[in-house]
Amino acid sequence: MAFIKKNGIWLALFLMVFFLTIKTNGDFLSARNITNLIRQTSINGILACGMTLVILTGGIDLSIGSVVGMTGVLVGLSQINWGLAQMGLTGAWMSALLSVAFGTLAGGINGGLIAYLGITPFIVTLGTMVIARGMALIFSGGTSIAPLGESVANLSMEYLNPQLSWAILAISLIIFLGFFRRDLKDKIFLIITLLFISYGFMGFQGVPYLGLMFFFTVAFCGWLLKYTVLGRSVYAVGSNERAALWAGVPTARIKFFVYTFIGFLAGLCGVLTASRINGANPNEGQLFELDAIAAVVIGGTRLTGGVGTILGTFVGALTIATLNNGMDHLGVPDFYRMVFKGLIIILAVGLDKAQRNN
Amino acid sequence: MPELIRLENISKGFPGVQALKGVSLNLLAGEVLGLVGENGAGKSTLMKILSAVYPYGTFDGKIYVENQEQKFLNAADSQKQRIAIIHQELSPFWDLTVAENLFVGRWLLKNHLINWHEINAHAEFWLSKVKAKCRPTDKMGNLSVGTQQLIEIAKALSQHSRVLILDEPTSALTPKEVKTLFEIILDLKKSGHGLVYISHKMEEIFEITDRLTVLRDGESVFTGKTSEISEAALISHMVGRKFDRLFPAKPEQQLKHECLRVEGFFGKSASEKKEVGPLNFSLREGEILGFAGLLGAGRSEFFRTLFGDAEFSATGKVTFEGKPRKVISPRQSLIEKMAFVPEDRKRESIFEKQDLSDNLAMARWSKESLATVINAKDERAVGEQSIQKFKVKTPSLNQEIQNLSGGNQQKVVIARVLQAEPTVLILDEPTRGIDVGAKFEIYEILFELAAQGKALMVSSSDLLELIGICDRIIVMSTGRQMGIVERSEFSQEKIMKLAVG
Repeated sequence: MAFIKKNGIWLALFLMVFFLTIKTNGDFLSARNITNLIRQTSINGILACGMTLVILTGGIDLSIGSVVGMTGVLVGLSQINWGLAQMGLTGAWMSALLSVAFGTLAGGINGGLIAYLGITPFIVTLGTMVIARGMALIFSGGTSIAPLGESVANLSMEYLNPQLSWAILAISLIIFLGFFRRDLKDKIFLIITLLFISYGFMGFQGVPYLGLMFFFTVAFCGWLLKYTVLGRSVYAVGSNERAALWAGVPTARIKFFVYTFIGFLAGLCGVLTASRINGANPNEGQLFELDAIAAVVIGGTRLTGGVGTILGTFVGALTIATLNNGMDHLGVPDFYRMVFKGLIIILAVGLDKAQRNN
Repeated sequence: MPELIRLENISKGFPGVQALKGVSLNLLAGEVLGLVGENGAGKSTLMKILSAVYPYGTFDGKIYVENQEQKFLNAADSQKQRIAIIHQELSPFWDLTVAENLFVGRWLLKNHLINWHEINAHAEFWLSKVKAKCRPTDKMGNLSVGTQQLIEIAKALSQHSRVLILDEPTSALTPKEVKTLFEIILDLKKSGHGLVYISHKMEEIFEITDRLTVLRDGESVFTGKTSEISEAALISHMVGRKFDRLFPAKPEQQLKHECLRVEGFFGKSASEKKEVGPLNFSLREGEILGFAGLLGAGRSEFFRTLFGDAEFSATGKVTFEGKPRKVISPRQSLIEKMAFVPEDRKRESIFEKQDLSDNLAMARWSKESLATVINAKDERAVGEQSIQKFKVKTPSLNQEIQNLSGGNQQKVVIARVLQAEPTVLILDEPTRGIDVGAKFEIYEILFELAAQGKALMVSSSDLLELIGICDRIIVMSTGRQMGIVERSEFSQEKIMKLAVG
């Protein structure tokens, strides 16, 4: 029973995968689909990692979807209108840097207003959500910009070559075992999942860039939260801000950091999104913040802060992607999907709460 | 006297602890039953069973109300049997009026709409019953804690409760408010109510209770008339060993050189509308300097200002280790080796959901840059050391701090700030809400720290405590420093005289 309690979300995910695999005659667990699933998880997963940090401090960031839209438009503009598309890889880097810089700036503004002026995160980011969307529309003149240069488009399409992929997987394995050697038994679901994912990558075309960035973000945030003073301070601020202050935690700086960091990630996702659709659309990124929040809360992070893990968010993001991907396979019409997704979020968090109350 | 409540053989376990082991007690009409015991002895658990926070089926044993067995499933069932509990930390609706607080959830209606006229009239009546000096239309948050407490009692009475459980009711009251409370309790006794009075304060227990039940480690170790037991005997029942003094012997102290001097110091808060100062004193290494004063005398506010709370702006001269010091932020203070243990453990000191390891390490990290990578092994070792050194009772470092008793939590908090290796340690009400045994241990810790040459500033609303442990006492009243009393001149009368202005 304690086992189910502890691994409820994993079990739900595995059940879902099991059901979908049967329904699709094994298609769902094909190497191609696993790779696809991870690529579909990546952008939301990256944002959800940042959102985990924000929510752990007891805050929220509603603006990231719009920031993705705005920075995506900047990528489009810089590529097409400013001619960076002709500069190949260098141009792609410049567009990416521009996007990430603007994302970070937007996050910094959020963070500054929240940390140093003491305005409620909900209000600040609600405001910047609308502002960033407006800027996306202004910059783009309200229309789509496409296609981008090949180098940008490749970012989300390309895979590491097989040798590199094997190398990355091997290194990851060593690091993984090193970190979790003491509680491998507790991580059994994670290990099975990662084995399936590795199988999916190697059985298809190798490690996708998107997936690589996602896994790197997960690992980095997990490490940050667990092993650095900054990470532990994030928990402290969300757990009891006053106590954190008395214990010498620079609470304002911590808050400033988490919003800036998620802004940085949103800028990154601006590039990735633009790359995926090979163009820029000012309406891109809508509701991304909600998907990210959903992944975080499904993963067991408490909305009031102080409790939660990146691994939880990782499963949460996988669950949402599985749901989307599964409904693709089952041919569930678009409109119904939204209803399903909403229900699943409420169900997951409701079950979690029911368990904890027991 | 008819019996109102009888609890028989109540046992209740939590994972890892047996909180109650077959406790029985009874409460008669028209009496005040003192329920005493150290923190963690099981008082709160027992009262939570009686008020159905833990419903029927989650514990063993039987509850009888007027000889009828009861199976409370929720708080409403308990209320229906006219049992009311008034918690130590009140949580009224701060932004609602007194009348709204009294009648929330059972509005008096007229044509399906709320009848404010009648509600206010009823409220007026119940408020007069408890002699509360406020009007039904006052906002709850603007009233003093004492008045709020009386209002809680009024609420219980308005629900026709016959049994009132008062959990540490005087912990935030002024002496005058305590007097009013006791008058009300006597009135209630006369009208046939039964009261359970939970407290750590010996004086009060002996003044107000008729009978006592003492719990220790989940067992009832004594029940009897208050008039037939001595204070020493009561304490030894509570702690389970011979206990003839409340304070450890104060060691002879070699006071070393001056490490802190405060001159013409003021603290001002715009948003809290508070001002403290001027304060003038010096502090030497190895000294324990007490801060006495009534509630609202500004002790906490002064401490917070000195430590760097952004809420207060500090003016005046502070000399620390011979150098002028500017008050900047709590973090800066810690880095400069000044540490602070705030008054309200739950709200301001502990990280409830975090484990002991994190709770202990937090102040150590303040010295490091944020990018520092934590050495987990090192951190555990330091944690284990602290736990041993301060005799923190816990199964392991991985325990969430909220599962520890108040005394143990406080030890963890003190151990935490000591990791910043402070020269000056400021402790605001370090023994608040802590049982006798743990208090004794805290005093020993304070003496030990002083012996190591640390300079301590300690505030307390318990005068005897300050007299027992301090070298000098600064008395404050309405924000101002009224005087400094030397150890040779310590007396309650002298200090009280200064404290009342």
